[in-house]
Amino acid sequence: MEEKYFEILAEDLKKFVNSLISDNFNVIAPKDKDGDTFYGKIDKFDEANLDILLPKMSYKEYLLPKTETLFEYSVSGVDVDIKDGLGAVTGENKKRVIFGGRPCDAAAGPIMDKVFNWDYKDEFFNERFKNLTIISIACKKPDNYCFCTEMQLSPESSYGSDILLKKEDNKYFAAVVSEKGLELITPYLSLFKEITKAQIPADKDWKKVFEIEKTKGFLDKNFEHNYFQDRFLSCIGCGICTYTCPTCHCFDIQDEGNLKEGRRIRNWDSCQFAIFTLHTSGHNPRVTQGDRYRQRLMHKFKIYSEKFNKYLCVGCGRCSRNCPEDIDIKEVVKDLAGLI
Amino acid sequence: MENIYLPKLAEIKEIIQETNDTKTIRLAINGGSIDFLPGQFGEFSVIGEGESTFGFSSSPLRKEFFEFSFRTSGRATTGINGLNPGDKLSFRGPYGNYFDTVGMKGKNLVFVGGGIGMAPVKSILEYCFDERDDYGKITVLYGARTVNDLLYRNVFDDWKKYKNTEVVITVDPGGETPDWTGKVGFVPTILEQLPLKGENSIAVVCGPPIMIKFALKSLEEKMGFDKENIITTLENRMKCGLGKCGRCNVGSVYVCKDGPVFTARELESLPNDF
Amino acid sequence: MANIDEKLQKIAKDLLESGEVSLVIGFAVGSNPQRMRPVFITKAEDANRLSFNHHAVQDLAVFLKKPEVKKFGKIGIVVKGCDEKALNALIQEYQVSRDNIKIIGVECNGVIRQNLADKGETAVSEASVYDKCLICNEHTPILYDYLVPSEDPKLNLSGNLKPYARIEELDSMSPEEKNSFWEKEFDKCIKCYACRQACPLCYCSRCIVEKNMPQWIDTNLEETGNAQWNLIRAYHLSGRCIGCGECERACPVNIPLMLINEKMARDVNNLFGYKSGLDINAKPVFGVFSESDFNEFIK
Repeated sequence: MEEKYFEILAEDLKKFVNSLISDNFNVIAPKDKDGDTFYGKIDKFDEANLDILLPKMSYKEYLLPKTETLFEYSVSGVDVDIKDGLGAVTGENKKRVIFGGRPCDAAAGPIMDKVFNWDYKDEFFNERFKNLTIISIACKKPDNYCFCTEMQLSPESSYGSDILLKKEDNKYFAAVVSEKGLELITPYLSLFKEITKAQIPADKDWKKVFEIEKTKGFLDKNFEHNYFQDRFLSCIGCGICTYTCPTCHCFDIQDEGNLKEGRRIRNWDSCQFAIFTLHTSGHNPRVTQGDRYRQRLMHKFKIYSEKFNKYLCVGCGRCSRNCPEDIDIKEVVKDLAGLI
Repeated sequence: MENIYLPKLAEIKEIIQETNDTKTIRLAINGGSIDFLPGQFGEFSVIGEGESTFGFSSSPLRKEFFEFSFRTSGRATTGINGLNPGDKLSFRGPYGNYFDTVGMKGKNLVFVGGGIGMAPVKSILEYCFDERDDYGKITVLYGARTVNDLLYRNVFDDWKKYKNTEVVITVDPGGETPDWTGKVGFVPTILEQLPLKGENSIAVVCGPPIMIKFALKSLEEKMGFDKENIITTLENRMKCGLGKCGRCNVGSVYVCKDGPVFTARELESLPNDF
Repeated sequence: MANIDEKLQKIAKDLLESGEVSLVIGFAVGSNPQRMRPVFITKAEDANRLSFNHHAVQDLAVFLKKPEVKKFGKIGIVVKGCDEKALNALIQEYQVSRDNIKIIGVECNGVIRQNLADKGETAVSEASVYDKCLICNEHTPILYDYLVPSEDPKLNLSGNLKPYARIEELDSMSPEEKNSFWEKEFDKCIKCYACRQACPLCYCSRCIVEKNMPQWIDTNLEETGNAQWNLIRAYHLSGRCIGCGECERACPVNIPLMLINEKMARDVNNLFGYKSGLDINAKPVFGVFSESDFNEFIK
């Protein structure tokens, strides 16, 4: 649709969000918890922390839950009764809004969407994605771990958002970029003042510090390069990078229950675990942690990009900030871009 | 709205104990086989014990059943091993690409299998037998560690009956029994003794990685097969089979979607990650 | 350059040059001045990358369980007092041979909590360091081949801050209250297993969560699976955990895992008079039986 532009006072934005909550929207926002900030359901606007750059975890779980019931089963004799897990998803509260996330997190939605729909359609994902309205706030000051600009996005990108807000003094400029976004604000239009695109401050000229295409170029030809084994000696193989990542989507499928009744579930999984690719025969294509960290780079910057012509990374830097051993992916992809 | 993870239930028609620890299970859905092509695979499971990935081992032209072979090794296969005819098995599929049965027409065909890797070979081999007139000379070379590790012993004689067909069965040195009448030697070694030429021929090779490695070398270097005409399958660990769960990717392919069937030329372009 | 860095570099250089070790694991300046990171030095000329300060939060003993690191054979390792206890426990449990490691001990007067350091904190104080530092008795490592003195002033403890204060709070709760506290904490768990991977003593080559015949731990990332995982891990570490706190530091969802580990350690000390990681010649407490052992639970 054609983008629409609005202006809204900070106090009216508060009213808007509080109205959404009182109108039974499930509003998820950055929220302080245990000395850090995480996305969580807010009961009033003031619970949201809009000053934080990025919550510690992404909001991936609202698209791909930590554990999802694919179906439930019960067995009697040779007969098996299967109850489709999709029913529970379509029955969920449909009115979910992510408020106050950042452009990088929003970009993860359409990036994952490609994987979940490139061939077979994953309706679990689709149903959740369809019912999620995303209101992001442009970043003013990315930190040293951020590299969205290098990832074909920017701190002011609206890719994946339904509404992108830009703060200026005591007001916000709102670019409504999707039907979903427009539908969300329509009942509350009295709080918004429509303006033209020209009235919105232009995006800053964000500068790239490396070319991600060069990283891919390196990965294309240097699978066996020593860099991977040497550099990732310090990787302890925890899955934090993958679990806190907004685009890492690999999952496991497991049965839980007994032979009479139970469920088949899918759980978050991680390529950083040795067991991830361990064959029944005992053969493992990825023996060392270097092999496994390389796979994460390969998937993000080569495998995905060759399939979908985009990268499986939004440059949010969470994997770096959260890494217990201080492996900084920005430094790594920059290294690789320089090695070519 | 379709749940792509939902299995169908298949009825077990017959169970063949192939070796000590391997079985072939013949299944039917609505009383017969399903539509699939040789080389494709499915996710098989006793519900409650988790899914396992297996290639089909029967010819899709045989309509009364579809079959797969498995070795009992973990929780899921132990579950399947406990089943009896009449029991139900959950099944998703067919998934993945398949052998180019059209492109193989008019060619001489060489089928090389090792151990349980013979399963997908059996599917394409029996398909070609079912359409015997479409293909030139067929050579089958199948090997296992010992006589007792050979699968499909009950159908070797059927294979030999087809016209213009040579069936060679071998076991690794030391794996023979006193009454063994087949060959003794590793598959790549026996392969080199066969009068094969790459010209107008296609080779299908499946088995343990080490066997594939040497068999490919022999076919290419000694017999002049083009890399495009040597076809194999990759057996990466998989979960979804649908190109989503991210487990099976190698280089830029998803083995479950872009594979499992690859030519030696395609394999050459993949990084050593399988 | 700090004096301490020079000393570390000299030791590492000598060890590598003499061939006494083929690898030195130490700290280097990380992705920002408030972060240190592990560094693996194999050439004497690279020893000048070594550094140490109150941001050196990692317990480098964790790397000794990695097959890729083990293959170096003789290894020099930079350790704080707490980390060194992990070495002792690994030696006690025959995971590491004393003959194969050169212990480069550094005196430490506390390391700054990483989340505070990330927000700019650079001063060691009662309020800025980890709880483990407040109860630390090993500012100087117990065992070492080389010792490098600290450059930070001694921690000034006012006594107003109670380390692991929640433990007493939890002790006074009813079982239902305790349960609901931990249910809420474990609900956050995402089973990334960072607690396990960051732990120098979680070295099983196949973890119980990776065993499925039988399926000991539910695979789900929900109530049952999360509780089973966290509880079984706690038990596997009771009497063994040396309190380095790496599990809690690594946890991306801030589960207060040290409340469990510290409580376990206190109980083991109260009941068996044993503290883990203090003596390489001691038998692990649950590796031996003594008639005088606490045995009320059998009654």
